[in-house]
Amino acid sequence: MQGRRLNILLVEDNPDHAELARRSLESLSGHTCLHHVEDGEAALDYMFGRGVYADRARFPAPDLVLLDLRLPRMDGLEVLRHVKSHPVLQHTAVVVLTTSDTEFDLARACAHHADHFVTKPVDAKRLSEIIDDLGLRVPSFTSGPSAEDARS
Amino acid sequence: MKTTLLPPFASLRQLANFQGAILSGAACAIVSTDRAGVITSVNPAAEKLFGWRADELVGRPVPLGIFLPEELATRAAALAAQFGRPVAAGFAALAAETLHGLNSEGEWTFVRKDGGRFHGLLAITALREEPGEILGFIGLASDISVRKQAEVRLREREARYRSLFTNMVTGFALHEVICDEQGQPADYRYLEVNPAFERLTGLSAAELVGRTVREALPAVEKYWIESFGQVALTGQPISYEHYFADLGQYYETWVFSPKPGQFAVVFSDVTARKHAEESLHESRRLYEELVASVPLGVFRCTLRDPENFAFEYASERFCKITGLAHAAVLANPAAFREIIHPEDRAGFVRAAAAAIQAQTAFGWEGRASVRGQTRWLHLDSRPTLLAGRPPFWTGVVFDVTGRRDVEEALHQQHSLLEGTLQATADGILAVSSDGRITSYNRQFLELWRVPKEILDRNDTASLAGYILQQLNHPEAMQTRIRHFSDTTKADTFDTLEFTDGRVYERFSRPQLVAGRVVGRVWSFRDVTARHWAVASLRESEHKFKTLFETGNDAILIMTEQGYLDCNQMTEIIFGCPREEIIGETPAHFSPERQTDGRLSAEKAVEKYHAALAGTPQFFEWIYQRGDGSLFNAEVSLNRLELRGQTVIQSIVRDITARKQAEAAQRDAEQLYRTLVNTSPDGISLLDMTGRLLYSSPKALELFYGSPTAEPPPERHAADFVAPQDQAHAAELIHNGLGGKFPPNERLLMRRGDGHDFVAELNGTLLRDSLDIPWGILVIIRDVTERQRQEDELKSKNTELEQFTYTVSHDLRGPLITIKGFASALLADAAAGRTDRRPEDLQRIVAAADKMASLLNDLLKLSRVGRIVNPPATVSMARLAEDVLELLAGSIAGCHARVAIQPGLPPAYGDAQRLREVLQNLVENALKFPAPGREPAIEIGFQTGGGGPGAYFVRDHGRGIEPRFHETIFGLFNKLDSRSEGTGIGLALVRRIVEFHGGAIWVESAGPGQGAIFYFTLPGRKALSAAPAN
Repeated sequence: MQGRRLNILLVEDNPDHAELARRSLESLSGHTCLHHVEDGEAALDYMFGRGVYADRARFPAPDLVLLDLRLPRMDGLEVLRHVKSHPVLQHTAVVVLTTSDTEFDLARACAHHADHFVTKPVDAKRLSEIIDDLGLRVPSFTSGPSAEDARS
Repeated sequence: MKTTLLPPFASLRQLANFQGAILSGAACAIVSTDRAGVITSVNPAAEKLFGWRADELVGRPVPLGIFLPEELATRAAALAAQFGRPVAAGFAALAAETLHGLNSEGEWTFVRKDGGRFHGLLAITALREEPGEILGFIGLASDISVRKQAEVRLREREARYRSLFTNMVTGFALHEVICDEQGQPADYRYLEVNPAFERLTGLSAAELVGRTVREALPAVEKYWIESFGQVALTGQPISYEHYFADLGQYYETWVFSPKPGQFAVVFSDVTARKHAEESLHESRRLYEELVASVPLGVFRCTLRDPENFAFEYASERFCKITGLAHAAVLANPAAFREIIHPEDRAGFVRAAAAAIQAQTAFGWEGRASVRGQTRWLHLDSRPTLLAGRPPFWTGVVFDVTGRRDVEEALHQQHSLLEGTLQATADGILAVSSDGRITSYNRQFLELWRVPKEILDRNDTASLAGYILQQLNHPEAMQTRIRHFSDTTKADTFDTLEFTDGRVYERFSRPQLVAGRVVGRVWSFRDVTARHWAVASLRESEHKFKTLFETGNDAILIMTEQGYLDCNQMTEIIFGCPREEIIGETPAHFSPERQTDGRLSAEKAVEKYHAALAGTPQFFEWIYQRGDGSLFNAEVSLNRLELRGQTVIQSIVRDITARKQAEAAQRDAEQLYRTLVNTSPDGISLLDMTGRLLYSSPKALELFYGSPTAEPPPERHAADFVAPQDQAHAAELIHNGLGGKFPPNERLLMRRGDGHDFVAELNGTLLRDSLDIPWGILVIIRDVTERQRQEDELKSKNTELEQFTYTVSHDLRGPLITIKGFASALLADAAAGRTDRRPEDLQRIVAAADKMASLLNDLLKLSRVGRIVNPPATVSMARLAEDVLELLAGSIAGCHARVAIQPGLPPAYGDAQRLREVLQNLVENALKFPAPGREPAIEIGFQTGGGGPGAYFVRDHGRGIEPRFHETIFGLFNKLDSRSEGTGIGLALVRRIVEFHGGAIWVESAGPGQGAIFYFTLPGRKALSAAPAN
């Protein structure tokens, strides 16, 4: 771990969308550490710290999860259901990423106890507001921006 | 009187002593006179009886003031007539008979010294000196006033009960008077008789009611018809007692008029009473005869012990009375005792013993056997105590059988009356003039429900109060009859109406004794049933009149000669005036023949005679009106007795309208039946418990599988509901009974054979004319097919929704990329940063390409089933070769080997689509090779075990985990987000295969194990049956 950073897990199968999310986080003032997985099963493996993600030093438990809903192998809602029904993990803030702000998506996300949602592409300002909203503080940084890519 | 048998006396002194003893010891007064009637001696009993002392009487001439001059005068006149010469109205009137050698015994009214009078019996005997010279007279007198009073009392008592009896009403008959042309009663007709009347007269209601008295009792006298007629016409009631020679019975009758023109006869059979009276009269006559010759037998006896009566003297009359021979009396001390009736002997001995013991007077009355007959004897005697000899008793004996018989008869009569009083159906209450209740019977208590304590209080005021509270109009009753002990001599009759609907008739008659009102006897009868019967009779009379005059039917009276009379309605119905109807026959108003082809005239006569024979006729008939038109009618013929003539009453009802209505109803019913029988919906009728009352053919088909099924009895609608829907059905029924059937409710039903179907139900609560629900009409529609289609539509909608969602999501993907990097380029440009520009532009171009291919694939997908090439037999081998040619570049690029199994069977379908199937499957196999291995692909056909066999595409690629075997066929579902392709390929393949009626599935042992995609193509039949979308 590199001191006080906000650990964020991005669950996104579309590489372009992942790149856009990364750039938004980079623009936030403060220390964030982004970890990226591409499907639902990998997201759960990461959060439970199992398999290839067993090393918590390399793959620290996230403070915030940005979760896309359409994922290969395991649907985003399924991931959300697993997380929010776990006694410990349920306290992890999960922000759902959607392609539209249709009520259908929102209703489904709310039904699975998502903490917030963001319509893609992820806007830095909007992301910052949500982080504040969730009571998470992005530690202010003294040196230059650093977003470590923890892609698996 | 013949020579008296005296015992031999030793001297005159003894004789005088003897006489003295008789005189002083006798219970009756004995007075002796000389020839001229001057009193020579009186005994103590005489002193007591007449109230004079002996010294005041002796030496004075009879009759003194003891006799009433008028009685003496009467007797003198009678004797003068008897002997043919004048007799003085003095002592001579007393002595005349004796002087002529006759017995002189008679009843007199004696006057005592103090002026008091009493009835006495006087027997006079002449004292004769041998051989015949009259020395004087001896008179024996006794007081019979007590007996007289007892007789009066008995007569009073008899009168009272006779009065009670008189008031009993038992038989009842209601009549109407038939008057002649002068308005004088000529006959009367029995309208109503009650069972008591029938019992009393021995004539049945059937014989009487409706007939006239002249018919029923031809011997009836005109007098009665006139008397009753006057009652009916004037309203003045009469009562009388009469002997009906025809019936051999006495009736006591009360006749009154309940309404003008009618009279009611209420009467009781008093035959038994009359007979009792006659026998009583006979007894009395006998008694009077006996009294007239009252015998006094004189005796003297010595009593030493009760068993031993030593008679020393017995008069001739004694012997006559006791039936004992004179010698036997004197010789046998037990002779008298032996004639005493065994039952009375003990009493006699007891009385005698007491008299001996106390030396007191000895009296006895009892039965004795005299000359073979049982007689009642009365004995009175007093002891005479003489010094030096045992006491002896002197006394008299007389026969009281007559009196006893009268008493017995009266007693019997009393108990007969008492019994009758209790046995009658009427409630009887007798009240004395001073307001005391003197008698009542059990029925009275029951009728009035009077508690015994009120009667026991013997207070007519509280009784009246108790009774009045039960009446409808107590004040009217109070003013009419001030109190129960009304002392007027009038009879009363009225009717009492009770608050609870009971109606009593009340009859009262003063109770007369010797012409004086001593009380009033009330007789009550519960006539509730009759009252209402009379009321309903009146009502029905009124009804009949109304019917005849204003009814809607033609009413005709006819005889064999033709119509006698008709009502107004007949003119309307027959369409001709009355004058043209009267005298004509039914045939005149009928067509020649009736519907059955028979001649009207012949049939009409036949019906007429059947009715005349007493069988009421009811039939339909076609009449012909005056104008020749015909009409249908319902006819009823009844026999009637009208003014002594037997006629037929014909009631004709025009039923043309009803016939038309019936026809209309038949049509409606036919229509309804057709509707029910041909309705595509089942129609069932349930009762309120859900039991099936009726099921239409369609309902039977739904329930039993056949429209002609014979439904078993007692089936409930709930029997046909599937278990899972029973609760729902119960709720429906519950709501339905409340009148609110929710429309178009669906239930899963189960037929008798276990086959399930979905029914749509509509119910209606049926109510009768009083708005009371009695059943439920249920329309049952089999919507199984519709339900299936709806379910399918629903699942299709879900699928479509999912599809739309997926498509919109995945189509947005490239748009988001384009928008995101375009924004980034703008931001970079503003910041003067250029390092990422080529990369970002490349991303934008790639996203646009991806979008294009997505749209292209989606278009392909949408064409399946929408744009259809004509199906044909397709060579799958040829298709496979086409595919290899098409993909030759790709195959070469990854060094893959692709083999086609020889002899692939042909398929039937859309060749272009089937080619797309093979192409996608081969592309997939090329896309996911096992790491480090060159792809090896085989296209083949495998015959299945029993099945039609399946085509397959096999690879040795990276394989698929079993949990994804199903999801990979979903739209845009990709196992690897980085792989080429849109994720539409397998979805498209499945859609095409399913469109051809086939199935597709994948088999793979797991990652790295390769995969085989199988698909079937059933052929021509399946294709034509496949869904069009």
